Amino acid sequence: MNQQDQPTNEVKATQPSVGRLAVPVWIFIVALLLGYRGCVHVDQAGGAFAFDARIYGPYRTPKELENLQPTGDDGGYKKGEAQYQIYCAGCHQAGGGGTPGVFPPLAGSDWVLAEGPNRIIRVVLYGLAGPVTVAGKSFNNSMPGLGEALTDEQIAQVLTYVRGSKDWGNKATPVTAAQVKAARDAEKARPSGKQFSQPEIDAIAVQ
Amino acid sequence: MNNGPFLFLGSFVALLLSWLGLVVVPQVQLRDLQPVKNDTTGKYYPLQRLGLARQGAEVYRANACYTCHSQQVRQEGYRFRAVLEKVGTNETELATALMKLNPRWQQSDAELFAQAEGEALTDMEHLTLQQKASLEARFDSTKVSEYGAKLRFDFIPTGADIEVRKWGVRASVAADYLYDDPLMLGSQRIGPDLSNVGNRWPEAGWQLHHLYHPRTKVEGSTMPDYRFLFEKRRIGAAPSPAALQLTGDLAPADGWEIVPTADALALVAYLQSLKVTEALFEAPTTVAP
Repeated sequence: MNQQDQPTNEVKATQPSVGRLAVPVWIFIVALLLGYRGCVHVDQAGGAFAFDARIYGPYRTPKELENLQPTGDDGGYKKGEAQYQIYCAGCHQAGGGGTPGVFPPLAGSDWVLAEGPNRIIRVVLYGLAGPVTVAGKSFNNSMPGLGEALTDEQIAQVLTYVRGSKDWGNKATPVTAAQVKAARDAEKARPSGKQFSQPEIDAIAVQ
Repeated sequence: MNNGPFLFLGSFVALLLSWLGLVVVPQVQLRDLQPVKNDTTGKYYPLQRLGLARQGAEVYRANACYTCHSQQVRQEGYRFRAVLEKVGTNETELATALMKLNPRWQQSDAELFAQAEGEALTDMEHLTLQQKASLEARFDSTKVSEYGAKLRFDFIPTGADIEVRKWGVRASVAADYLYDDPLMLGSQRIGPDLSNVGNRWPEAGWQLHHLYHPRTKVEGSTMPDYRFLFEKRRIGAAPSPAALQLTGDLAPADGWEIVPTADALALVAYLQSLKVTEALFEAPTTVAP
């Protein structure tokens, strides 16, 4: 038994009392403010939690709604997006970012965003091989040509999507089937499947 | 009452937060709503109610129609359905193209496909957005369009309100109520939803007879008669063209007729103005081919 447990006859002058709050109020206020800031951040960072006054259930994202709008003449943009997912996204990725060091990016690529689609049409038609420089980075890989597999229209659609993809921030002019046909005719002498190299592409007029 | 100021502050903060969340934040989010122009028809939606329809909204309010009727269509989801719009000239190519969409179909079905112009394809009636996109791309990757064949994908909003009860074609959204003041959304559905009643029962005569005695138009209706919106009066020099055509027990005595009052006509004009079919960005109705 220690000293404290001894009964005592002393009468305390005042009774012990409990304060109203064991924790200072300002801690709650700071926590609330931090929580609020966190919610604002999640809201602005996008993703599934982002608030958009145009979204009502059962729809979830603006992107989803865009896909459901009546299809006016979008120059084949939406169809191109579907083609892209089938033929291109395997290497260049759904977001157009490519794979660093292996597959060049299409988003923000100087090849894609050239003033005219002349060169990029030929890349899709015949493919591309050997060392290339895209957006300041070097790549050395082999892309097969898709000229046999796709029609002029499909190539035009997929390039319209790649050059104008709103998701990637690309804003180059759309491509028409006539432009693809013109490129095919101009390269008639070229054996199908013979891939282009960077020097050959550079020799071709941009527009 | 030692903690008076503290309690006051607490309840004040509680009220302040609800006011912020229920009034201020929605106001900030939705204050920029504007009527939108339909590029096809050149008309704006929504439009303000004018004249009789506007007065009718007051009659609707005064009679508390919103107690039993809601004005809000719910939508649970959406789907697509593939329709063979044109079969084109080459049956074999078409069958090959369609076999890419569904492996269960066979080349021997070519003749069936050739007769299916304008029809929805079986097994292709509940497509998701992803399925639709991949089927569309697969169909496009064939050369069948050179022979004039065309596949269309119908967009269909789904939900019991839309498909079973047929109360509307899409979900109701904030823009639909832009000019409604006060908002009479309703909270109970003792009667059917009225957000689209102007399309369902467009005739004024139907509405008037229904208001006078709902059972004449809808069997087993539990809606009360709104006879005080009508006037029973002696036929003057000639019967009024607006008089109700009533038979049996409801028919007034000879020399008398039942005519709608101004309130009844206004209410009917309001009901006729209730139409929610316009496609909006936030509430698409159908994707045009």
